[in-house]
Amino acid sequence: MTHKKRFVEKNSILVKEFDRYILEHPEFADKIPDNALVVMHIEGDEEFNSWAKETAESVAEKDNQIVYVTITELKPVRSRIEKLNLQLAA
Amino acid sequence: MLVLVILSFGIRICFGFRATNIKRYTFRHFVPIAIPQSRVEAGFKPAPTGWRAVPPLPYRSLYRRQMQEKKYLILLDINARKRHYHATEAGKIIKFVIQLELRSGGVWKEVIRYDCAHDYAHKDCYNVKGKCRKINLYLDYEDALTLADDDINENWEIYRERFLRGDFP
Repeated sequence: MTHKKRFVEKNSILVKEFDRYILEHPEFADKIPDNALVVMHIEGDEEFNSWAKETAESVAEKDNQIVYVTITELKPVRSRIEKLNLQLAA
Repeated sequence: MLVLVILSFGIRICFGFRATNIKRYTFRHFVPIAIPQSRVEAGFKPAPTGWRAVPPLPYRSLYRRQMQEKKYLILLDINARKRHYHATEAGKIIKFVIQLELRSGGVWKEVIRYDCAHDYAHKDCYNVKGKCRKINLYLDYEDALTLADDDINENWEIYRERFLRGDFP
């Protein structure tokens, strides 16, 4: 997998997490200026962060203020299943 | 009597008809001004009356119902971005637009748009020529917004591929 593809996939995962966070914490969205371009960063991955920054700078238009959202802590991925059954084929 | 009628119409003309709602205020609608202790310590002196008007109940609910809007873009790739717009009233989504946009030939084009124009949640799919296909979602706005975010986040690369090929995403 090329670096770029890895970064795009990582960015998609972070965007998903961000959208979920905004749904649960709508007050966070109030801090984002109107028409801003939101760019995801993650603490500790400088290579990814610089790719995101460069990409954002080339994508942003005159009226788009770039806003960097840095995720500093992520919960481990856990199953959401609360109950399940197992059935063996005869 | 005539003087009172003329005066009443005079007030209505000068201050607008809404100003006459003041008659709905009774003693129940005046509450004492609560002054924070910090302001008292700083030497703040309340106004001589020490009371403030609170709008009557039907008007109070109108004051609270303020629409809040939010719009921003999310970077997906060098030629892909997601446009997010939502408006809430009393914590409920009353309008939304979630749109996938791709840059093709130096121009940003809409590819997929989830929105609630014409008062129902739907999805518009565009091809590279700008033709549109509409899909009714039969969902309430909250669920449609969640679906829109999830769908675009999960599938935007597939939609990009199809769109650039000339197909409907």
